[in-house]
Parts: sequence; C-alpha cells; structure tokens
Amino acid sequence: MAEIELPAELLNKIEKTGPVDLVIGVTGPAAPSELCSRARNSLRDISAKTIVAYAGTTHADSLPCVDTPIQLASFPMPSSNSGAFWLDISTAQRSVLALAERWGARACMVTHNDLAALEPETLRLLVEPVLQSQADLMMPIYVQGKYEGLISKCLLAPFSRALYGRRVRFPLSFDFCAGAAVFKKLTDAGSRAHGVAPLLWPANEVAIRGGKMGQAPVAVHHAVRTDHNDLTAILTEFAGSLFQEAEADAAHWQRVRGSEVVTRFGKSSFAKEDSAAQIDPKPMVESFVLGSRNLEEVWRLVLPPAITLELKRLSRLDADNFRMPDTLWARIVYDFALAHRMRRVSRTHVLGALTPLYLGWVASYTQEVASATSEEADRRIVQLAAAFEEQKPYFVSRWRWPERVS
Amino acid sequence: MSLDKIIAAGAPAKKKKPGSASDPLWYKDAILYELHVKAFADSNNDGIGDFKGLISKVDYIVSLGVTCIWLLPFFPSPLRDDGYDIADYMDVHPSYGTLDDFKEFLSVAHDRGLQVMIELVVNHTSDQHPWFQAARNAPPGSPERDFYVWSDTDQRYKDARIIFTDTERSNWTWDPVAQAYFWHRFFSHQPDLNFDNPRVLEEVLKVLRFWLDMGVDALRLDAVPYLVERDGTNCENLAETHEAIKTIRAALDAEYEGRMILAEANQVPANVRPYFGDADECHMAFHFPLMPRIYMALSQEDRQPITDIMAQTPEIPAPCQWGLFLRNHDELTLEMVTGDERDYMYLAYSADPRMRINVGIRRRLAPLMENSRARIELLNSLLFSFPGTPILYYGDEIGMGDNIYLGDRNGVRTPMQWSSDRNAGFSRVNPARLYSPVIMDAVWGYEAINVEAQDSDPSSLLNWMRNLIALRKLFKVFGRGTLRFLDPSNCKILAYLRELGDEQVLCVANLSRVWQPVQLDLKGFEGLIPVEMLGYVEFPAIGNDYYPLTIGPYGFLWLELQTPKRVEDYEE
Repeated sequence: MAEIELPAELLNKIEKTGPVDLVIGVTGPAAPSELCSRARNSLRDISAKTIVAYAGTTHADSLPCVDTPIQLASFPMPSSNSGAFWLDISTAQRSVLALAERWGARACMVTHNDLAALEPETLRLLVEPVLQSQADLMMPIYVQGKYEGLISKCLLAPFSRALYGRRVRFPLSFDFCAGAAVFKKLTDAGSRAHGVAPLLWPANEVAIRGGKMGQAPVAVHHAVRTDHNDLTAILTEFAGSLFQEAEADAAHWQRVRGSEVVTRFGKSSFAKEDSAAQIDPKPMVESFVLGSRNLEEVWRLVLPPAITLELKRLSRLDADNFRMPDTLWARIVYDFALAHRMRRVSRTHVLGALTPLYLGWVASYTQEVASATSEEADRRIVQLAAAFEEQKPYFVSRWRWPERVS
Repeated sequence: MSLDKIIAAGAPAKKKKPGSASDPLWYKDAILYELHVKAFADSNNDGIGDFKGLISKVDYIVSLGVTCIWLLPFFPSPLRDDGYDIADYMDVHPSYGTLDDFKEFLSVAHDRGLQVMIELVVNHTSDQHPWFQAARNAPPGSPERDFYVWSDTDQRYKDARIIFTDTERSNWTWDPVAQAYFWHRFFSHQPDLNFDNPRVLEEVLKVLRFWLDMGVDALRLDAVPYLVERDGTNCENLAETHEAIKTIRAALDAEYEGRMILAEANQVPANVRPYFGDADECHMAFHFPLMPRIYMALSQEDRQPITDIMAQTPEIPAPCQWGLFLRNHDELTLEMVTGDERDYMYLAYSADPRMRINVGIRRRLAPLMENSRARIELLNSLLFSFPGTPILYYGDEIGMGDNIYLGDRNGVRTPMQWSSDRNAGFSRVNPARLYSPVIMDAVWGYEAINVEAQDSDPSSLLNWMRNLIALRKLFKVFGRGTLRFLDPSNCKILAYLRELGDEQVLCVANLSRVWQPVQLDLKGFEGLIPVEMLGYVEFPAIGNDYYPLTIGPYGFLWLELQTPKRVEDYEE
C-alpha cells in the first residue's frame, strides 16, 4: 500500500477544506501556474469542488488558483528507488488515490505530469461517469495508430482480458478516474505480494472485486521518456509485473470464464489513421531468428516441444512470408507466464527471452495490417484478444499441472 | 482467582509483535507442514538439526506450497520423550540453537509468507523442570508442592486408562524425595501439572504470552483432554479442563489478533466437539479417528469406514476447523477404533510386530502404502479434499520410509533426506554422531529417495505434491466448504460434494485396485459441466440421468462443476 506521510500543512488544508468532489492528481512534478491554467480550462464544464494535487514542494498558498473554485495542493512524492520507469508512476498513482481517500473525494482522476490529459473533453469522458455513479473506474482508450501501443495491444490487454474477464483496451494507463468505492482497493493492491512493490493494474483490481467499469476514447498522446527505450527492459517491467499479478490472483482468474464488454462512453470509433511510413519487418524477423539460435535453450525450458517445433519452422521462413498465428502467440505468452511462476529459470532470463518472440509477433502483425485501415487493424487486435481467451484453458491446464504437456 | 484476574495478572507491558496473517481465519485455508528441528537440517555439523539449518531450508518449504510450519517441541529438555518432556518453557534446546536463532527463523518464515505454529505442552513437564524439583522438595501443602498432583496412595483416579501401555503400569509413580506418589498420564518422567492450582494457569499464560509476543502465529495444545483429574471419572474431557482452555483462549483473544490454538484430543468426534466450545475454546482440533479409517477403507476397498466416521462427526462452530492428517510424528493411533477394527488394522498394516507400539502402528505413509504411488496419491487426494486443514508430515512429500528397528517412535523421526550425499545431505558430521541413523536400505534409502532427485524429476511424488497443494490453494471450498457424501451402489467408490457459495466440487475416489464403474446421482446439478481440476478437462454435461464415470485403480477425480461458458460475440 502506498504510504505517504503528509506534511502538517497539507493535513491542515485537508481539514480546513473538508470533503471535496474531485481530486485530480498529477503523478509527477508540474509547474503550478501551467497546472492551474490547464485545470481551470479543462474543468470548465464540470461542476465539482476540486483539488488539483501534484507532486512537489511549492507552497500552494502562493499559487495563482486561490481565487478560483479550484485549489492546488502539493504532496510529497514517495520514491520507489527502483529505477523502473512505470513503477514510479504506479507509486505516484497510489499516492494520489490515498490522498483522495484522505480528502474524502467522490472521484479521483490520476494523470501524467505532461498534463496532456487535462483537456475538457478528456476530463468530461473520464470523470463524469464516476461522479454520476455510472462507473467505479473509468479507463482511457488512447486513440492510436495501428502501429502504436503494441505491447499493450498484443500482450497486456489480451492477457488481462482473458484472465480477468473484462475487455479493457489499456489495462495499464497513465490516466484513469476512480470512484471512492475503489480507492482503498487500489491503494491496497499489491499488498498480497510479499516484499515486492508491484505496478498498479487498476482495471484488473476492480475486475477482481466486481466493480463497475467503463472506458472512453481519449485523444491524448503522452510522450514517453526517450531515455527508456530498451524494449527488453520495458517488456520485463510490464510483462513481469502482469505475470506476478497473475500468480497472486490465480485463485480468482482461474474461475473466470469468458469476458464482459466494458461500457463504452464517448464516440464508438477511436482508431487514428497513420501517416507513418510502412514498417519494415525484416529487422524484427532477424531478431526473432537470432533469438531462436541464441535463446533456444531457454525457449526449450519455457515452451513445450510442440511450440518449440513451430518456432523452428517459423525461423526458416523469409521475412515476407513470416506469420505467427495468434494461437501460437497466445500460448507463448501463457507459457512464459507459467515459467515466470515456476522459476525454473531466473525470471530475468525468462522475460529477456520473450523479446525476440514479441518482435516475431509484431513482424507478423505489421505485415498483416500493412494495407489495412486503422479500424481494420483494430479488428485484428480484437481477434487476437479472442484468441487469448480461447486459449485460456490451455493456460489453466498448464498452470495446474505443468508436467503434463507434450 | 477469577478468570479476568488471571488474564490481567500476566498482561505484558512490552511491545508485542503482530501475527503474520491478515485474515483472522487464515488457518481454514492453511496447509500445515509438521517437522522436527532436529530432523530437518544440521547447519553446524554436530549431527543434530538446528534452527540455522531450518532457516536454510525455508525456501524448500515455500516451494512446497504449504502455508504454516508446525514445529515439534524445541525447548530445553532431557529428551526422554522427544522433547515433550519440557524442562524450560521459555528457551531453546541448545542442540537446536538459541532464542535469537528461533527469532531469526520466525522472521524469515514470516517474510516468506509462512505462519508458524509451536507446541504448548502444558499437561505435564519433565521431572527435570525446576517446578517439579521445587515441588518434590517442598513440604506437602506448600505452593511449590501444589504445582503437581500428589497422593499418598496410588489408588486414586483408578478409572483413568493408561496411555503408554508398552512402558507404564500405572499413572502413579512413587517419588522417594517427596515421599508421595505423583500423577502422570504419560511417561513416569512426565509429572502432570495441577490445573486445580490457579498459579499453574498463570504460569501457562506467561508461557503463551512469551511466544505470542514474539510473533508466533499458533499453538498446539498437547494432550489437552488430561489437564484435570477427578475421582469417579476417566479423567478425560472434564468440565474443569474446558474451563482452563477457555481461560487460555480468553487471554489469547484479549491480547492478540490472528492467532490460533489447536487441540490435540485423541478422542471420538463427539468428545472432541466440546474442545471448540462456542468458538471460545480451540480454533482447531485434530480429527484423530478419521485417519485410521481412511487406511481401513483402502485396505477393505470399501468406503464405509470413512462415511461412518464422518456421519459421527458433529457440526462445529463456523470459525472452527478440523485438522486432518495421514501420518504424524506419533504412531498411527488405533485408540479410537473398536477392538475388531484394531485387529484388522494390525493384520493389514503391521505384519511385523516391531511395527506396533502402544495402541498403534509406527510407520510412515509410504511404507504403509507399500510404496504404491497410486495409493499414496489417492490418500493425499482425500486428505486435501476433505473438510479441514491438511497437515503434512515432513518427508512424506517425497515418500520417505521408516526404520522399525529404532526404539519408541523414532523410526518415523529419522533425518530428512535431502540428497544422495553423505548423511542424506542432512549433515556433514561423521555418520556415527547423527542423532539418528538415516534410512539406508535399497528401497527406502536416501540414495533412492531424496529431495534433490525428486526436485529434478517432473514426475516425482514431490512435484506431484506441489501441484496438488497449489491446486487446493486455488479453491477456498476445500478449506471452508460443506461436505455431502453421495451414495452410489458401488461401495468401492467414495464420492462427495464440497460446496461453498458458487464453488462446487465433486470428488470421486476409487478405493480398489481395479477399475470401477459408478453411476452418480447428481440431481440438482443438471446442466452443469464437470471440469476435471488437475488437467482442466471438460467432461460431458450433467443430464437428468445418473452420471456415469469409470475410475482406474486407486484413481480419483476432482471435478469442478461449472456453469456453461456464456457465449458472447467477440466483436465490440
């Protein structure tokens, strides 16, 4: 659970202000003047007593929002000391939720400190359903092109959907809005794992506890830090955390069958047409082939023989004909999740060995959707999610009886 | 002294460590692993296992999937009854390490998510305990003398049975120092404490607080039916004994959260039921009579011994739980079966008279099953699916054997077999210095049966056990659900339903050595789909007729009854 020690000044402010409707929490430092300006603009259509909190130490009293219904407050940013990219964000998200709980808020919107989500339409879509008790949690559907957000689209989202039974497009997001009913659940999330501070998977947590969920397309683009572009590191952090959550939640998700559509708010179409040039799959296929040579030993420990054989066959294909079936990719992800649980190989090695396989699937996907519109590509992603769901019995079976696989 | 005063008298001023479990009913979902510190791992190579050694093996215990370690007595003791003769309740036997070593172990176990249960052996002490030494030297009627039960004659309490029939002729022993007889329900070197003396209970509560303050999660109350004696009774299960337990429980509830006490009451279920009280005595109690009847049912290839004893098992308060086991550190006790049943068990499971001791059979699980993997698995499937908390005895997870040529019950207390190295990897000491010889014969020896070998064998019993334990932990129904036996005409089939909310599990076991057909009456479950839980395989849906199954020799099925998967369009 996020433990934040609030300074006396802030505690006094909470007491003085009394309960509020909405806390908007920025998960990092922000310039107070810009924050105030953006918040004032984005909240113009929302009538709610609002606190805008940000990580920092600037005295709120000196800030320019004092004459508006919006109040600014800074809170101490707990350090995860992990060096991991998303863990810092998750830690800050938990802190914001804990702050909202302390403030007695009805809703809490967490958002990235690039402030890109502080736009009227985004806030309206994510906050209103929570304030109006239509949802306990509102998740964003980031409007993206067909080549964007592929880790989420081809791994995090389909895996989460199959396990937790909710069709959430972005289970790990910079922005979301939670209702008071789930504050504690989300701040407590992760306390199951001993001694490990996990990422916050808000949708999965709420799914476990049977909360109402919604999602809305938002035209928000967050610039990812350029110093964190190592694919293996990103995959290791995201997939490792998700697999760890799966281990902790096994008693729940093994009893979930099928999946529910999550109520959509806002417009129904959310695919963004790409102006980007075509992606060349060759380097990715080469990485896959290289992986099949160098990592064969790890793959053989993680994957059953039938899949290893299939990968061998794939490695002999030229780039133009390279296609990785959804069923195969789903089983690979499940087998890696299982290997992560079984610890027969170190987790770092397991997750590292996933990267070339991921690139293999991306190479396959980019060729399949090369001439497709974004909407067609999106349907392709939905099809992949369905494959993960269909293969879930394979995963459960492997999980329960790992030795019984040929 | 009133109960409140007794509790208040010892209330500690120092800071207590909290228990490690967040769910107050943690013991209902627990899987206990019983072990001897002396038998598990020897870190200093003196031939005796110790806490440092145990700490080095916590990862192994975690890998098993068990959730609570039950430590057999590790206190200072002359060790004439394997530590159940305690000479100091608040320390660690020097052979096993120090109090700090214990604290370190406790911390490591808690860090790894394990709970820890230790023994509270308070029916009796060692005759070397300072209390007894003071008592025998104190004049009759003095407070010191009054800590134990004395008499000028050995004719009192004549209706009390003798428990250790192989070694004891009477429950009274003459003490030449005290010039009086003292009372003992067990060995003559284990004088019973006098629970009619309130000071005894005060001291017991001090002991309890000493360990619970440290963070210990659970206490096993040893020999609990025998605390109080009265003429004209069999001196078992007396109302005054229950009063003492209630006092202990009240102190526990008043001062601690998330802790548990478990009663060792080797009695028929109806007599064990009062040890739960109105949920104001023990949280848990062993179900002793079930264990021999499981073996009997298997040998007779007939479910009746099991269904009979379960029919005699009364309901218990909601927060309470049965403790179930197949084997433990003692003999397979036959005290709670009829004479004919006992004779049958002796014939079936102890052909060699050396396998018998007192009123029971001193053998481990695997030898009792003649090393049949199928039978070992079947019995474990029952243990892990019956209503209660399963308790695993160290070494049984790898099918360790026993040594019937060792005295007392030491044949089932031999060193843990870690590897095929010297002394089974238990110790590097000269084998002659081991506290007990390791098992060395061709079938059961450590070179054939050890953790290291089974760890690397995906099909080993060890890995099978790990899977079974992990599977059980996925379903709360096993620890908390109701039990209902089905009554198929084929008596070689044991079939029962476990239910908890929307979790419904059908368990079917073939107690015979050959294939068996069975028709199950599953009225009320029409339309549900049985899914075999180990392999996650869907079976045909349940219809309006009897549900037919065919089960292989000693086979078993755990079937989760699922509602058919809803069909939704994948398009969004």
